[in-house]
Amino acid sequence: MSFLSDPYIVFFVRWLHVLSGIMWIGLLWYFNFVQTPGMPKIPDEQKPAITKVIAPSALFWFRWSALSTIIWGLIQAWQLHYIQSALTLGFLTQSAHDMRIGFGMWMGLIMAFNVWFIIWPNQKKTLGIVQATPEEKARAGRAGFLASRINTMLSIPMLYAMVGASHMA
Amino acid sequence: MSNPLQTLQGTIILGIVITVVVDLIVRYTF
Repeated sequence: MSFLSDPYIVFFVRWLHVLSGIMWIGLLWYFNFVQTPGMPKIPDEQKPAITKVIAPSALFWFRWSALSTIIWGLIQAWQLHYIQSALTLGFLTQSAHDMRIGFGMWMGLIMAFNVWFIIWPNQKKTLGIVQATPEEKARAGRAGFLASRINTMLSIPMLYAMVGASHMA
Repeated sequence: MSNPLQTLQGTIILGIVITVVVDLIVRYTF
């Protein structure tokens, strides 16, 4: 217990959380700002370079960095004794800090849920990793696209809440 | 009206609106 609450260990867990989070949100923004808008401009015969090589690799790092971010973040909140207060949005302790970080945590948890249970299962169909009819592929593409866009939208207030909890004057 | 999440601009504007709402909630709750 004393080892886990050692200030250096607390810092080290925060570093792992931010490191994983940069990879996760960096790849989320790559999908939304670069890959998805770029796909219609790529000639059909060159599209497999993205769908067979780049996207599966990007999705691998995307979903595992999402899980890593959540795990280190939850460990951090537990180490700093605000996990329960933050997940109940600060109402238990009347804490603005815990409400702010709690909003960020819930947005991050919703985003990670979207990654693992909506985006990834649908991407497996659109990329041909699992068998699907053309109609199923079209529906999966739409669902994955919207979940990814929702995550991009949530990443803006999530980061504001996470950084703001400790660094807002 | 089309879904704002259809475009990147709509997505970013919605994200900023949620940011402002969350900030106001935190500022004025306690």
